[in-house]
Amino acid sequence: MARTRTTKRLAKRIELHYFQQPHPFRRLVRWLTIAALAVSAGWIGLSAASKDNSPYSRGPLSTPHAMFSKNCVLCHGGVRAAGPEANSRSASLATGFFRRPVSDPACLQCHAGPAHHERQVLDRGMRTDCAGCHVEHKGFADIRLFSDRSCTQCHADLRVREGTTSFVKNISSFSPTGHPEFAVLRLKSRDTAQLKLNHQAHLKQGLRLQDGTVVQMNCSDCHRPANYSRSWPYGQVPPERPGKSPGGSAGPPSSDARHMAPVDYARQCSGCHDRDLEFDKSGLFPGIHAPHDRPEIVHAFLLEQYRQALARNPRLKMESPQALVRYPGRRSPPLTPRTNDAWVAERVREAETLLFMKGCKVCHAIEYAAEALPVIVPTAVPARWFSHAFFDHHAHRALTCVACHDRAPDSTRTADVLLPGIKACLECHSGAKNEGTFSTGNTRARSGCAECHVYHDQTGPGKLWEGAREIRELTKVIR
Amino acid sequence: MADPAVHLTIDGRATTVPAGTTVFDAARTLGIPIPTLCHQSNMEPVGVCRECVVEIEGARVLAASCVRPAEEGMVVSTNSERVRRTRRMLIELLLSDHPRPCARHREFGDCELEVLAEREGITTPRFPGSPGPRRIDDSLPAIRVDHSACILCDRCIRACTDVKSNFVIGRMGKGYPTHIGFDNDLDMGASSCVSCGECMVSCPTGALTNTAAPATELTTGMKFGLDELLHIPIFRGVSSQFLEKNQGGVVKRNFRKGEILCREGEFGSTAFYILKGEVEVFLTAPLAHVKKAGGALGFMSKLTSLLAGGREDPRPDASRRPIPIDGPVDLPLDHPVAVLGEGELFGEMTCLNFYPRSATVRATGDGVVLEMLRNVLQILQKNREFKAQLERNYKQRALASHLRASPAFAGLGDDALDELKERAELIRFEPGGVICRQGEVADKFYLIRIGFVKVTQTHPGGEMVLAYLSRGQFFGEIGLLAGGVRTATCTALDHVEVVCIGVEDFNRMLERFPEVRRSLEQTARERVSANRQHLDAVRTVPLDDFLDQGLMEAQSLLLLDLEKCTRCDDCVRACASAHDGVTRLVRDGLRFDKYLVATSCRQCKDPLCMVGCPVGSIRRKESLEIIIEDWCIGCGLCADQCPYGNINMHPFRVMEQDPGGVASRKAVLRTKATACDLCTDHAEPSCVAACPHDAAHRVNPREFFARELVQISPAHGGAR
Amino acid sequence: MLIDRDHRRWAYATLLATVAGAATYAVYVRSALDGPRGGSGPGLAFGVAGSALMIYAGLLSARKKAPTWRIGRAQAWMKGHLWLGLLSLPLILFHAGLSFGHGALTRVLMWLFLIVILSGLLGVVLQQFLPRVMLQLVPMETIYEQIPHVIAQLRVEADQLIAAACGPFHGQLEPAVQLGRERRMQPSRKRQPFVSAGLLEGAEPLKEFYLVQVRPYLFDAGRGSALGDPIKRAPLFEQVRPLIPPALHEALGDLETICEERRQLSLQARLHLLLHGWLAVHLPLSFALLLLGGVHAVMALRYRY
Repeated sequence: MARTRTTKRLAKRIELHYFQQPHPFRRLVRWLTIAALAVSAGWIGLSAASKDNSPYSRGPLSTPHAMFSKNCVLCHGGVRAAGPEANSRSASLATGFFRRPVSDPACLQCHAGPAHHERQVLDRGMRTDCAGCHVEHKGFADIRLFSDRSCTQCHADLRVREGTTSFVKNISSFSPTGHPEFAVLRLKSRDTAQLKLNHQAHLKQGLRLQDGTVVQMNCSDCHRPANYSRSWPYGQVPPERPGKSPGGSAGPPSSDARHMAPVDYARQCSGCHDRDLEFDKSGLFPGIHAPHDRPEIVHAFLLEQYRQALARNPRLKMESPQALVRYPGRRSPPLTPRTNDAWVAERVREAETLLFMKGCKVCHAIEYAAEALPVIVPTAVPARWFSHAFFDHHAHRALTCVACHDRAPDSTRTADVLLPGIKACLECHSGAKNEGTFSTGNTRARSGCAECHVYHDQTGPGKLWEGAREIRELTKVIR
Repeated sequence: MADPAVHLTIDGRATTVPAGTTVFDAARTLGIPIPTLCHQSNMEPVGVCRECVVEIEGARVLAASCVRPAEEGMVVSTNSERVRRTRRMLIELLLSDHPRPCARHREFGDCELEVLAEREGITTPRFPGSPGPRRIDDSLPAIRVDHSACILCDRCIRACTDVKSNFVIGRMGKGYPTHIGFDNDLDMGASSCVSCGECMVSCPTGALTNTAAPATELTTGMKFGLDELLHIPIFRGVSSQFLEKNQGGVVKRNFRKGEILCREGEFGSTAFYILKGEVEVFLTAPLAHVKKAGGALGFMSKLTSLLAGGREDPRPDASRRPIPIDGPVDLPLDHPVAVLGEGELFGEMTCLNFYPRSATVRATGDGVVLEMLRNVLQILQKNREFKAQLERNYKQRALASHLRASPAFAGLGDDALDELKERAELIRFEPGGVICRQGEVADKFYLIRIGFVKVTQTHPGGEMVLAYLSRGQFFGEIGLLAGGVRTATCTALDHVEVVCIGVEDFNRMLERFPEVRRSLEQTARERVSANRQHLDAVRTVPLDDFLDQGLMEAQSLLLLDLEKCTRCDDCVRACASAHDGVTRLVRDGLRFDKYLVATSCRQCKDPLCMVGCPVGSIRRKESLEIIIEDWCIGCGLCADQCPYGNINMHPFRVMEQDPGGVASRKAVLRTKATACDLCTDHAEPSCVAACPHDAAHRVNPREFFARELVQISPAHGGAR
Repeated sequence: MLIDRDHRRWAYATLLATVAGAATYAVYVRSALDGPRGGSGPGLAFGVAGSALMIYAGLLSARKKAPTWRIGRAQAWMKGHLWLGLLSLPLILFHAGLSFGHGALTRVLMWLFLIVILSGLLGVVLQQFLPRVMLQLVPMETIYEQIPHVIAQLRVEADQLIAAACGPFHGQLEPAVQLGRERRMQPSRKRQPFVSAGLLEGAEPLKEFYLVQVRPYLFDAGRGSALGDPIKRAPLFEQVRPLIPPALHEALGDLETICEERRQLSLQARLHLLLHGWLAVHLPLSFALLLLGGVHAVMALRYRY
């Protein structure tokens, strides 16, 4: 009888309760499940036990804040808004029983964040709290570089609560169409500085100095960031070296590096224009120039100089300046003895006439008065041409100056505004989005609003952190 | 049906019988006995012994009356000189080969051949016998075969083939050495004989006799002396000789109050007759292991049950009826306890058919019982007086409940019942006996007292089982209500007793109670339409390999699509959680096409499992799914019978009354049979609902495979 | 589960939802002040939707614990698990702004999520063809959990078969027959001995073959055994066949069937592990994902903005 397979025989082989005892494979899966849960719970539990909140972080903090990574509540709900500030914030962001959003007071502990514009119109969903624009946990990105949309949500169609605004109303992006020409250029403003400066004259080829040497000047001979450490070729003051203090290391360029230092007579001009400050034609003071200073000081300086000169040589008062020149066939006028003071006054007057009528006027505008010393009109050279933006010259050091300031070599008048137009910026900064994230692949330079503009009204005074602590104290807090 | 009336004259008496009736039967209706050896009323006549020859006027030769149909105007003589001479000659010829006395005659004196010979006064046949004694085959412990005593009447062959369908016995050889043979002429013990004893019962001589089977003597209890036995009223009228032979088969047992006579689920071979005292019959199987515990539910469990969606089957279950047991009464469903008193018999089914005990019996007072084996019971049952007593008891106690249990008869008045009690008649059928035959004239209504009845219908394609009926169920109403012809054949599967109600009484009852008529007609209509559906289903599907796995028999299969099934076992777990933690589904079995035919109840059209349940707890609902009721006693018979292994026995921890002593409750493990109930309290079987991969399906195989059945090539389909 | 035509609607719906999500995401990214953030309104919405889908997908395992609850068919749950779980991928990616997370927790979550999704997809892919492979290669398949039990019964059956054919072993089997759990299996009642007890003439080669080759294989189906290879096995049996009387050929044939069944069961065990192995990754990690996801949700909502 061959083996036959019948349903009944097959079924009778099976233990009826087999499914109640878990099979090894099922047991394995069960144990793995328990293990997986245990590992997960263990991780969470351990980090909770060590008061380490970092696992919950949605990303690394920006570099300045990185030290707060472990303790969420330093920013999140740690400081509660009090007083009127609390009411100004929307309820959804209030710290409650459960919610721990980042509150502005937390930021304001360290940062001054003055309001942008009081008159801005806020639509539904727009946030004015710090974290609304300054998004943290995005890695080592600069959280100041927030998204353009934060700005354009208002500026693309600017409305104000009352009154009018002088700003262009539809700024949507940094592009030829999305952004207006810079205000100075757009409004065809003139440079009103009270200084006679001919860029063309300075930069021309074959510039001959008064001593006869021929030089070729460069922009950087006069215009440099403040901390630039090379010596000035046309100055007489040794350069300051702010970055080099004994024992320290040269840090990154300070923020001063962004802006050009104001042009200073001593450092930039004096090398050539000292001659214009010679005050005595008689050769009484070889190598001595009037100081580049207010007329009163110049006057005092001259008085002193002549008095000393008379003290050194009393004969001087015998001679008139004319008498000192002998013409053949002409009788020398008689030496009329004068008082010392008269002599000095005469000399000083001569010198002042020379200076104020000629030397100073090479560059400065001077207002004369009848019986008094003239007044040098303040030069009022604008330090920055941008009223709402910042330009970092240091960041652009790979470019020659005239690459952007292309009109400078041909400018002959002070009134010429040599600020490059937006067109020059757009050569590099156009279209590329700057979301302040890890996005890479931009082949263009960043062109986000925050590259140039600052939201906060920083015209007011800065703020010190009232909560400044000892080192040990701080490390305890942030842990 | 042909013209039913045929007129003939037998021994000068005129009679009218339906056409097709044999002369033998016609004579019997007149009360004229015709001796016969080979013919028995429950078998097809073959006419081999020629003992029943009659002379027919005008006929050239004598005719065997058992096979000769009656004809119009026939004049028959059963006892003419010519007939007598012929008959005598036949007996002499048969006897010449027959050992005298044969084993049976020696033991019981009732070898039919020798009784006939004695009546004819034949002592020594004139003819020489066979050259030598033939073989005696006693390879089977229970049945002894003496080929010498065999007269080749074919009764055993027909019993084995037609009645029991075992197909073991046949004729071997030809001419003089002709003999009966088992299988291919093996010894009986080596053959595929199942020792059912049907051949032995039908043998007219001592050719097949019962050897002292091991269980014909009871070892416990007090033996009776013959005289004592004869004084017991129920043995009055029994031949003392016969009783003497079977003395060991009956004992007297005294019992004390509280003593357990038998326990449900036990296997036994005895019946009990109460001589004195009272006993209590009850089921210890608790009635709620399938249903969830009710009562005050907590909120959670309420929610859970709401989610689980379990609900009682909303369909009205008209087939719920008292629990039938192996005794003269039925147990009520709500409180399954009954009391039996003096003169009552219980345990018949166990004794006759070797079914497990259906209930526990405990003495409520001191008393005496007779415990008897099958041989004694059969003697008793042949005793007219005892039979009358049984009948009386049954009519008094169970008939009403049996009738009223079916809603059809619920409206029956008490007086009508009393009348029925008077008129109804109790008839016994041996295993295989045909109670009524398809196409016959319907003249009776039947109610089953004991045993199982198979209802079949013959069709051009073969025979189809329509139903199995058991104690308390009725049949025969269709024939009575419509047309007067039997529409199906009803056969006794084992020892069956039915209550017959004649057509007149039946009709009178219906006239008096129109609502009974209406509901009976309703039942009949439902049965007929159900049968037709079966039939249509069988007709529309081609029969092929599909049959090999018995899939055609199934009404519903749990199929797992093996291309989708990931063997996740969710179905099994769902089944277990829907059924008290045990699964009624085994995810193993044979494949058909790309499907695994999972081992789970198939709701067979011919549910073999239902045959033999001693308490009738396995049954069909009206929608034909098979359910096992709570009162299962865990005998395991259904599990054995199921050919597909779909019924499993599971132990359940239950609290139950300790039948042994004080009325204390204790936790016990009760084994119960479980089979798929199709989760009828849910919209969908749990296994199917829980299959995440759309692989499990409960389908009607004939519809589901209707397309495939045509397409499957023999190489592809079939069993693995 | 097998992706068939029934899944078309789910697939379209998922695709549609993904496209809709992507469109929403595109609009949202364009309008977001500061790029996509999980904490912004739409980002949070994506996160909530994605995690709701994840939780729903995770509920499948809870639903499997209560198979009788009628809360939708398991099949629908599974389809949902599959497609909605898949849909959670784009939603969570949108939630994360298509980045991979920058914090420790979010990064771990992202890894877990991807592994869970990928292992689930692997499972789906395996389920497309492995059941069919099993259908074809393992016709004698049984319940995976019961393979050791069935194999034990095979051994008993083989022992009985050989004992019936060649006579009892008389202590030739050292660890008797390893009964125990197998004790329940009664020798088949119907099985008649082919040969009445006593050693049949010439049965010795069969017995030896059984003891030396077959039985060790049945006990320990090492891959090395030639019996485990249907091609090598046939000649082995064919070598034995001429050595034994024809009356024993049937027993030999049965023995071969038993070996075949043993081989198929080993194969089934391997295929089953292959078919279910991904669960060992998918399930534990998805639980971890849900746990950590919950922590992430709580913490992120707490410290949002």
